[in-house]
Amino acid sequence: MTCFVTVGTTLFDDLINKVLSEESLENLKKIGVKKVLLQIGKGNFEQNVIDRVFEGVVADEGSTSFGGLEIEYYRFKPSICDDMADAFIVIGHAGAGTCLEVLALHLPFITVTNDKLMDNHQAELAVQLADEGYLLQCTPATLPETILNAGLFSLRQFEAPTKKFVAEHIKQIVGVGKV
Amino acid sequence: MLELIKHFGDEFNERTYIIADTDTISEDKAIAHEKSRNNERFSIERIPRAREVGQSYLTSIVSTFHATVFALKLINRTRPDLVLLNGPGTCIPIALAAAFFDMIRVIDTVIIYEESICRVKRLSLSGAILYYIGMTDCLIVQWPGLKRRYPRSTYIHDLDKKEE
Repeated sequence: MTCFVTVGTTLFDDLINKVLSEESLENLKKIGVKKVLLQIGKGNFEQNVIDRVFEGVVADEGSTSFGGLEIEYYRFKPSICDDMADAFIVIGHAGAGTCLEVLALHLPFITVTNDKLMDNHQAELAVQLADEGYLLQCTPATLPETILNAGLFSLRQFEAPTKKFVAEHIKQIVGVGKV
Repeated sequence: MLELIKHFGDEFNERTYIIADTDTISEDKAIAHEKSRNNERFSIERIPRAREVGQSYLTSIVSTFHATVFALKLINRTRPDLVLLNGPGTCIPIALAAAFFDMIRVIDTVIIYEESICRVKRLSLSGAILYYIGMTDCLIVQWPGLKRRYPRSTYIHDLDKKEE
């Protein structure tokens, strides 16, 4: 029962720190999570989290156990697909690539929008997908309560649009398609 | 883009992939795709970026000019029947070059732009430029909201999904 947290290639300290806040960890335990695995990118934990969760010691990767939860983190991996596929729920930044990857796996998914970025057009997609019921969308501040949102386990399954009809349409315009 | 051309059969046999020179992953993907369909008639061209994220406007005029010269040579050499474009700024010089040769009747080319799935409410800068100067034969969007806002764009319903 792993909760996988990913920031992709972005810098999103608010997300990784908020996931390790007391409230969030408590709520993750409530929904049955036993392990929190974080991909933190270029980000850094804040001092309060380092002291409370990691007993003052952090590096580029590491693990600890805290209040009955196993916590592990790393910066980057060539491919995070496996970690994602093994997860029970995913909490991620609202990047398009991350969104589509997680949805293809049909996992319960919370996207966290970085409200400190101006004109964050990446979030457009997350908001749209949330409106259509494929994922939950929140900001770092509302993450703890979103973890307990019952909708998390009854999300719609997303089918990526096939491009078959688009390809047919293009063939017709060029004049090589079947009519 | 690869998702889309997977649905092409042998209609477009000779393919040229144009990849930004700063892009490190697309080349492998393109090669893997051509291998999977046992085709060797393809080439990969690297185009200089028209504008890096955050580059100043003055130097981007120079680099856009550079990219346009590259695009003109490339289109003149390959003489495509179809030009498929997506996202980044590098697509503008390619579209300009293809439209130019089409206009002077050197080639008869269909120019198609596909907007990224990330764009839900507004076209990207590249998409908007191509939309407003009307240089594409078809501008494909992936969300109905965009179609409403930009009536000349094309939104194709996924029929499979509707039948559910």
